[in-house]
Amino acid sequence: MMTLIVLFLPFVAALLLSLVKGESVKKIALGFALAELVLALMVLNQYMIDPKALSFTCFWITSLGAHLNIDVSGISMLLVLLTAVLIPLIILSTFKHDYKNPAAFYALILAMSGALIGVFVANDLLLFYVFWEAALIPIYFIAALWGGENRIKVTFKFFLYTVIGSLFMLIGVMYLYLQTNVPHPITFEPHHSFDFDHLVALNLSFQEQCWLFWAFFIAFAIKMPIFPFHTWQPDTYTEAPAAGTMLLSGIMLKMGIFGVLHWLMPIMNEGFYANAKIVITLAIIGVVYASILAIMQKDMKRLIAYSSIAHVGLIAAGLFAVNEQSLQGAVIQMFAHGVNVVGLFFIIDIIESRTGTRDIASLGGIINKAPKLGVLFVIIMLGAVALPLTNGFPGEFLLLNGIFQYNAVLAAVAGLTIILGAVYMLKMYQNVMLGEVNALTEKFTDLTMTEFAVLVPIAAIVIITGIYPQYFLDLTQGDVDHLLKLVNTNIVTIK
Amino acid sequence: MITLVILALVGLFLMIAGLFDISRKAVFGVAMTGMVAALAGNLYMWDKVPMAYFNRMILIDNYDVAFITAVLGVSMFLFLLSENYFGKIQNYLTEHYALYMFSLVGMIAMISFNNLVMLFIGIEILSVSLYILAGSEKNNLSSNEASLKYFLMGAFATGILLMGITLIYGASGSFYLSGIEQYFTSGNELSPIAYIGMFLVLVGMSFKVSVAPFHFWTPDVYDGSPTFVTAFMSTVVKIAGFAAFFKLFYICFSSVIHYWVEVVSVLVILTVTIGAMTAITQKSVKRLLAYSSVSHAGYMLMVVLVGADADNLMFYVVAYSISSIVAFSVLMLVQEAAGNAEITSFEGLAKVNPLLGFAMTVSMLSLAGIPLTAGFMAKVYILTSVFNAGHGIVVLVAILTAMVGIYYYFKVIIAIYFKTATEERKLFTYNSSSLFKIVLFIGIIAIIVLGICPDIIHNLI
Repeated sequence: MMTLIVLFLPFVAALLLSLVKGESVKKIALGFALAELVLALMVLNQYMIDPKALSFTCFWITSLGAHLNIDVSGISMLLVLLTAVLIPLIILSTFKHDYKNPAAFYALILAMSGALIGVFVANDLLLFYVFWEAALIPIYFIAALWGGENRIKVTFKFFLYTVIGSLFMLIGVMYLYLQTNVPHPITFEPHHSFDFDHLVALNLSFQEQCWLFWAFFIAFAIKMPIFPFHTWQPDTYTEAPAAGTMLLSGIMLKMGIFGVLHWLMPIMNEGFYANAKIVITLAIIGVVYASILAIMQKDMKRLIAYSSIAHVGLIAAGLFAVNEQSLQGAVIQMFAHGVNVVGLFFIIDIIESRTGTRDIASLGGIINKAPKLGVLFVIIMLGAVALPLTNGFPGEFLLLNGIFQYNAVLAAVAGLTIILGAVYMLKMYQNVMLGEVNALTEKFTDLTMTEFAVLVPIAAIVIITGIYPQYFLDLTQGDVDHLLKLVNTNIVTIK
Repeated sequence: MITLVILALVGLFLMIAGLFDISRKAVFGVAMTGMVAALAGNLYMWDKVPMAYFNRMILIDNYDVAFITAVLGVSMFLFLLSENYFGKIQNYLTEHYALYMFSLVGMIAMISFNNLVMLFIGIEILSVSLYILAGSEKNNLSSNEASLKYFLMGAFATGILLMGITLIYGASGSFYLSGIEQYFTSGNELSPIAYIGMFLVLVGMSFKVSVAPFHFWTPDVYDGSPTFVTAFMSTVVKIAGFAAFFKLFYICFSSVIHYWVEVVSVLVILTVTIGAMTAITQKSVKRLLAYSSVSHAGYMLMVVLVGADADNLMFYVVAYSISSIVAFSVLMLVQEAAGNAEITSFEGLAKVNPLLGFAMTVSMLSLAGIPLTAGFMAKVYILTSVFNAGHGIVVLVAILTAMVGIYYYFKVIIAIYFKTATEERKLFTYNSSSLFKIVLFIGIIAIIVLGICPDIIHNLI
């Protein structure tokens, strides 16, 4: 029941918000987001006591046998938490902007957060698909209504890309659905089902698993995005308004990773295993390619966009290496990346709104004018570089360790990310924050209270989860073990 | 039966009423009352023992009641938006209403037919009314062209259909569905003329519901006719056409499905592809909707292809009709204000008139099949049943064309929300009465509610 409230509160909030007029809308939106955070923490508490109490099932579409079936696993708990933590921060980060038509803007953000939580807790494939697509509409409108100059073309490309991926997934969804055969909940006649447990129990042939794998994987790969499905990403991140970029990079790309973990791996495990090599290779090509491109970027937002591709590539490689280290690393890195990237995009937004540019070369010396920003920027950036004792480190270490167990050469190539990541991040920091103060940065003022209130929690998370990641690792340990058991038993049978 | 009689009487009454001086409101009131009474008479038949009339030429069971309800409901919905359309008609107002009533009579005969002659009569009553309505803007050249084109092409199709009916009669010795069904299921060797007849009927029906490659009349006729008539043709008429199409094939020819299933699947593939591909390049929203209606006809034809589950057809036509009507009603207002139906006329609509912009967006999302709208559930129902019947290629093609569909539907959404209106267009007043707003509201809510809980109408039949 509690999960239901967490799931639907944002939608209700979005509806109410669209009726509000005037400036107060920001505060109301923040209030709802904080309420959502409190609820999410209560869910976390309940999860620790008894996870079973969090699942909920009722009929949704009887004619199709689809249920409103929601369930919280360790991984989804982590992602719900990530969403609930980031949404208030994202809303707070927009306080200094005066967007036209604010009611619609905040309503869309909240609706988006509801759909994201829906994706993470849905245990019925049709429900998952509906939320998956529903998450796209708000972000498309956010990016295309409040974005930059080229927004219309760029966001439409993004929209088409993701929808095309989803439609391939729809074919897979329907196929899986038609393979099931369970008694109808009312009439007890043989019927089909979208239920996760029924889908896992399916006996799919190897060929079926392989094409189903690609039908689902393309959708997930476009969302993440994995090389070569990434071409929408840098443009969209650059053109979207800051809040949109944060939503996209901080939470939405986790939908793809979550999809792989929650749906792809358990249901199509043979296909998953058979195609893992191709995917890992693509992902690692993406890591190196995006890192090199990030070094060449002149625009800070684009730089972080490419760095995001590199990070996600590593996470994806870890997913497909399928061992305990790599999976745990992927899960914790998902959380860390979400927090860091939101922080970085916010800092870029602060710099852009004060100096009017994101061009790395034309900035410099900001730290002299804004020491607080400088310190917080360093902490968050080091998190992204994965320095030990920051939140990026445990994940990256586990990921590389896991990939190494899978294949040493691939791990060596993937390891370049540590060096390249440090190069582009430090280069950016050096050029923007250090050096001589110039005309652009001369009047730079330090952080305001609201900005401080956004960045301090982020920096705190960076450090706390860097020093003590065990809490999150424990949260997802059970899930990871379960996944490994599922995949391994089946792989043994193929061999 | 009583439905048919009421509508026919109201139609006749309205024709005669033209002789007297009757206010516009009264005419509208009579027509609406007639439709409400007909709908009530129709709903009364729900869940009764199937009733036969006119020497069993008409047989009404739940299937027919459901589709007649859809036809009447959608027409009433549309009529609530008719103020601007009927307001502009100077002469022969009552005759216009009478023609709509007669076309409804034709549709009801088409839906509830139990005899191929009745089917033919129904189609003729409907078509003749539509030929006139298509040309009802007498001083507009394209309206005249639409009428003539529709008439010539329609006459051809009718001829082919009649030829098919004759050949089937020649082979089976019966006009009754049960007689034809018996002939086809008897297991005896079938006469070649039965097959030829079946395919001629297929072609004739495909023509009437604008299935490719027999769709060539559609864009010009839809574009040329007054927008209200276009909305009527592409929603109400389509419901009736497919109800008849499905019934005929489901009852008569399902036992020889292996003879026509491949032909129909090719027709489906052609229809969805041609509809979507030609819609891409359209600059006028009206033409775009015309081509999109061809593409949607392909989806409805899939139900015929599967040969089962009338519920899916019902849901699809309702979802499609509501979405289309919302789109057409916005189009009517924009067209009136801007003077044309180009996509550019929609630019910045969301700022100038948020309700119209939002309504159009919701209806485009539904037509494109985006989740949480009725259009998505309709597609899921139909595609799963097609997939289940083993037509994987059809599903694949349908999904690919859905991708194309998203492209052109979103062109309209982009124009509405992300482009800015010219100064001149900002000053347009959209002549939307409160009735109009209520109908748009109901339409939006219906689209979303059906998208979230499709069970409301899916399990009826």
